[in-house]
Amino acid sequence: MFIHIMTALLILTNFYMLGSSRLSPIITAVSAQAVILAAVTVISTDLSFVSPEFYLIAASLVIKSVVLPVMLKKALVRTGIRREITPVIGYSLSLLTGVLLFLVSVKGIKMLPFPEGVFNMTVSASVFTFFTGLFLIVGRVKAITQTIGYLSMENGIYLFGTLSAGGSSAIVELGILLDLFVGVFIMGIVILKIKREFDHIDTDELAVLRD
Amino acid sequence: MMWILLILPLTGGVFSLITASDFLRRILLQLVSVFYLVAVIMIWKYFPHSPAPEDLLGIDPLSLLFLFITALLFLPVAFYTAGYLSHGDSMGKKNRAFSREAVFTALLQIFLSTMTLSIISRHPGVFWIAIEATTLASAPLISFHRSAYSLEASWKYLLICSVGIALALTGNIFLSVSASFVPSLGSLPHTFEVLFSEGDLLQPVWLKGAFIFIIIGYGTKMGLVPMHTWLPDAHSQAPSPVSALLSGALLNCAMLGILRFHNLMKAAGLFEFSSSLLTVFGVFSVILAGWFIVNQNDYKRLLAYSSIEHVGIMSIAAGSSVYNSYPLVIHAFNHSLTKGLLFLAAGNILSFYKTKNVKEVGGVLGNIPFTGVMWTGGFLAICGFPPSGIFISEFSIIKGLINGGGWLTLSLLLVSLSVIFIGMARAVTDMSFGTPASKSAEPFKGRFYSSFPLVFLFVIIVVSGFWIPAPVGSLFKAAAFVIGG
Amino acid sequence: MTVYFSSAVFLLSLFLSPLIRGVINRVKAWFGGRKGPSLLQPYYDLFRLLKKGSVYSKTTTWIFKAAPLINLGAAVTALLFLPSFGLPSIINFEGDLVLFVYLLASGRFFMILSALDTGSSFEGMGASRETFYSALTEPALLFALAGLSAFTGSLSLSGIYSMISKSAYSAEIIPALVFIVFSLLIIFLAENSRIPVDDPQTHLELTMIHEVMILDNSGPDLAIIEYTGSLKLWIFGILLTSLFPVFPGIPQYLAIIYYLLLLFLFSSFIGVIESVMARLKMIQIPRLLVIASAFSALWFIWIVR
Repeated sequence: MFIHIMTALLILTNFYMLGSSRLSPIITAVSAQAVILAAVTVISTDLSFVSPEFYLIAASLVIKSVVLPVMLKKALVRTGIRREITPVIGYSLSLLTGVLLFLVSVKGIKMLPFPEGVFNMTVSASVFTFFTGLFLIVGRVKAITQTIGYLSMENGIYLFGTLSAGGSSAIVELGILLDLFVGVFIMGIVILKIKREFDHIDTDELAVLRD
Repeated sequence: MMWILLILPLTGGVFSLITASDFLRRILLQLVSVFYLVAVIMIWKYFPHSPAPEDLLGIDPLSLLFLFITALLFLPVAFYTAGYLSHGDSMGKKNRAFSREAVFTALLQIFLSTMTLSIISRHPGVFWIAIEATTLASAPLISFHRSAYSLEASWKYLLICSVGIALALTGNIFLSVSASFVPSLGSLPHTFEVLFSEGDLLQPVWLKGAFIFIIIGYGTKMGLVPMHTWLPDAHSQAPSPVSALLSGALLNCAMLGILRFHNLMKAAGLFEFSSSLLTVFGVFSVILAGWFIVNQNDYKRLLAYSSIEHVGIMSIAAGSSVYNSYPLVIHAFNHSLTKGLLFLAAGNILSFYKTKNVKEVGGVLGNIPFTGVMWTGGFLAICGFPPSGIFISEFSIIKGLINGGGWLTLSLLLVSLSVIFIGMARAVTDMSFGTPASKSAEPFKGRFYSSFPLVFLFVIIVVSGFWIPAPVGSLFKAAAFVIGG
Repeated sequence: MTVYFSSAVFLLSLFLSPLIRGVINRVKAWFGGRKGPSLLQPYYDLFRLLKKGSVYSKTTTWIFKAAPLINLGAAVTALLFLPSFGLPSIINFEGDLVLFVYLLASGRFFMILSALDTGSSFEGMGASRETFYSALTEPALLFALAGLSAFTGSLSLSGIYSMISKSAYSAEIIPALVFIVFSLLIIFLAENSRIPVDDPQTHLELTMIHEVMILDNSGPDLAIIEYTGSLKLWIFGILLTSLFPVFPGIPQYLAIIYYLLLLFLFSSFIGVIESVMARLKMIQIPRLLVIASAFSALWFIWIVR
C-alpha cells in the first residue's frame, strides 16, 4: 500500500518537473524525489537501525534532498535566474512526451526477466525518473536545469538499482554518492564561471566550438 | 605496494595545493612523476601481479601495462607542465597557496591518482567511481585558461561525460541483476574475475543490456562516435599537457572498462554480440574521424579527431580480437605515447605562433626546427609509417581482419585510413614547410622543459618500432592474455 | 429499502448543494482575514433573485428563456444517475456513465446557445472560451470514468462506486487511482469555473469565462443558473470524494455522515486552493487541462500488461 502511494508520488514529481517552467519548484521536486527514494529503500529492504546500509541511506537522503538542492538554489540566486523561458521543447509537448516516456518505461520493463518479488510499477517509475532527467538535459537550455536533470537521472538509477539488484556493497554506494556530490558541486562552479564570462547560462548559445 | 600509486600523487597534489612556493610546487610535480614511474617498475619487477579473485583493487598484467603507459606519459607531461607554468603569464598570483597554479598542479596529480584507481580496480562499481572521478578532476583542468571557449568545452565535457557515465552505472546495475540469477555468487563481491569464473551462468538478457549501456557509457568517455561530441572541444581547448593526458591516458582508462566487460561477454558466450557492437562503433568512429580530419583547420582539433580515429581502430581490434589481443595492447601503447608527443609539440607550436589555425602556421621546421622535427616525426608515426610501432599494430590488426574474414570492416577501415592520411598530410606539410614567419619568440624560457619531454617520447616511439625489450614484450603478451589470447 | 435511502439522499442533495458554495466562500473569507458571509448566504441569494422579475433583450429567442431550465433539468437528471454516500443511484443501468457525461454536456450546450442568442460580443467570447475549455475537459472526464470502470469491471456509475466502496481492486492500481483523483480535481476546478481556471468573482468581462456568458440573465433565470452551478459543484464533489470510501460494514447513517463531512472538508480544501493560487493566464489553461487528460489516461498503462 505505502509503496504504491510512493510510486504515484514519484511519478507525480516527474510530471511536475516536466511541466513547470520555474526552476525553484523543480529543485524542490528533485529533493522530494530523494525523500521518496529513501522511503522506498527503507521499506523494500528490511534493514536494522545499526547496519551500515541504514547510515548510507540516511547520508544519501541528507545529501540528495538537502545539501545539493540548497546548493542549486544558491546557484539560482547568484545567477539571478528564476525560470526557463525558451525551452527546446515546449511544456505541453514535454508533458505528452512524459506520458509517452512513462508508457515506454512500463512496456520496456515488461520485456526484461526480473528476479522474483520485484515491484514492477515502482521499477517502471524509477526508469521514468531516469528518462525525465534525460529529457530535462536534452529539452531545456539552462545549465542549472540540466544539472537538475542529471540529479533526477541519478535518482532513477539509484532506485532502479535498489529495487532490482538490491543495491551494491556499502563502499561502492558511498563512492557513488561522493562522486555525485562532487560532480554537482563542480557543475555549480562551472555554471557560475559561465555566468561571469557570458552573462547567461543558456547552453544552446554555447555553440562556438563546432565543425 | 599498489597503494603507493594512489597515495603518492594524492599527497603530492595536496602538498602542491597548500605550499606557497611555485618553485617547490613544480619540482614536486616532476618528482612525483619520476617516483610514480619508478614505483610502477618496482611493482612490475618485485611484486606478483596475480591478485585474488575477490580483491576490489589489484594489479594484473593488463593493469600493469596501462599503468606503465600512464607513467611513461605522465613523466614528460609533468616536466612539460613545469615549463608551461613558468612560462605562462595568465596563471594568477605568484607564490601563493591555493593560487590558480596551485589548483592546476594539484588537480593534475589528483587526476593521475583517479586514473590509477580506475586502472587497478577489479570491480565494476569501483571502476565506475574512479572513471567518474577522472571526469571531475579533469573538467576544471580544461577550463584552466577561463576563456569563453574553454568554459564551453569544459561544460560540455562535464555534462556529456557525466550523463554517459550515469548510463554506465545503469549497465553496472544490469550486470548485478544478471549476477543475481547465479546462486553460487551469493555473498562474494562481484568483481570482474569472480563474475568471469561463473560467466556461463549469468543471465544473458540482462548481460546484453549491461553491455549496451556500458559501451554507450564508457564509449562516451572513450570518444566513440556518436558519443564523441565533447572530445574535439575538450582536447583542443585544454592546455596542451592536459590534452596529452586526456588523449593518451584517459581514453585508455575508459577503454579498459569496455575491454573487461567484453571479456566477461566472452566468458558468457556472448562475444559475437559484444564484438559486433564494438566493431560497428569502431568503424563509425574511423569513418567520421576521416570526414572531419579532411576539412580541419585547427591543428589541435585535428589531433583530437585523430584520437577518435585511433579509439575506433582499437575498438575494431577489440571486436575482431576473439583469439588475439596482442595488436590491441601494442596499439594502445604506441598511440598513447605518440599522441602525447604530438600534443606537446602542438603546445610548442601554439606558444610560438599564438594561433591554432593551420593556415596561419607556416615553416615550423624553419622557425623552431627541433619542435618541427618532432611534430613531423610524430605525424609520420601516428599515420602508421614504418618503422613506428603503430605501423606494426595496425598491420597486425588488418592481418587479423583478413584472417577473420571481416571484409566490409577491412575495406571501410583501409579507405578511412587513407583519407585520414591525406587529410593529416595536407595539414602537417602546410605547417612544417613553407616560408618561415618572422616571429622570433622562443617557445619557452627554459629550453630543457620544452624539448626534453618531446625527446623522451620520441625516443620511445622510434625504439619500440625496431626493438621491444624482452620484459616489455612479455608484459604485452601477458596483458593480451588477460583479455583473451 | 435501499431505494428509499437513495431517494432520501437525492432530495438531500437537491437541498444541501448550495451549502458547498457557502463553505468555499467562508474559507476564502477566513484566508483573507475577514469573517465572511453566513454559510447560508447562497440560499439568501437564490431567494432574493427568485423574488425579482426577469428582463429579456429584444434580440433573444425562446432558446434564451429555455436554456436555464434545460440546464437545470440536465443536472437534476444527472444527479439521478449519481451514486452518493455509498448508495446506488436511483436509476442505473450498464453504460449509464456515458449518459451521465452527456447530460452534463447537453446542459452546457444549451447555455452556450443561449449566450450566442443574446448577440452580445462579450457573451460570444465567453461562449467561445467555454466551448474550447470544455472540449479539453470532456476527454479528461471520460478517460477518468473509463479508467474507473476498467478497474472495477462495471460500466455503470453505481457499479463502479459500489466496488470502490468495498475496496474490491488490487493494490497495484493505487498509483493509477491517485492520478485519477488528481485529474478529477482539475476537472472539478475547470467544470465549475473555479480558480485557477476561472474566477467566479471577477468583474472584468475580458477575463471571464463562465460569468460572462450569463451577463444578460437576470431574476429567476439567474437563480436557476446559480442553483444549477451548485448542483454541478455537488455532483463533481461526490464523484471525487466517493473515491475515498469509509471501511465497509459501518451502519448506513454513519456512512452518510462520513461522506457529508468528507464533502465539506473537500469544499474547504477548494477554498484553500482558491485562496493560495492565482488565476492562470488564459494561455496556460489548456496546459492544465492537457495535464488532466494525461493523468486520467495514465491508468491505461496499468491495464495494458
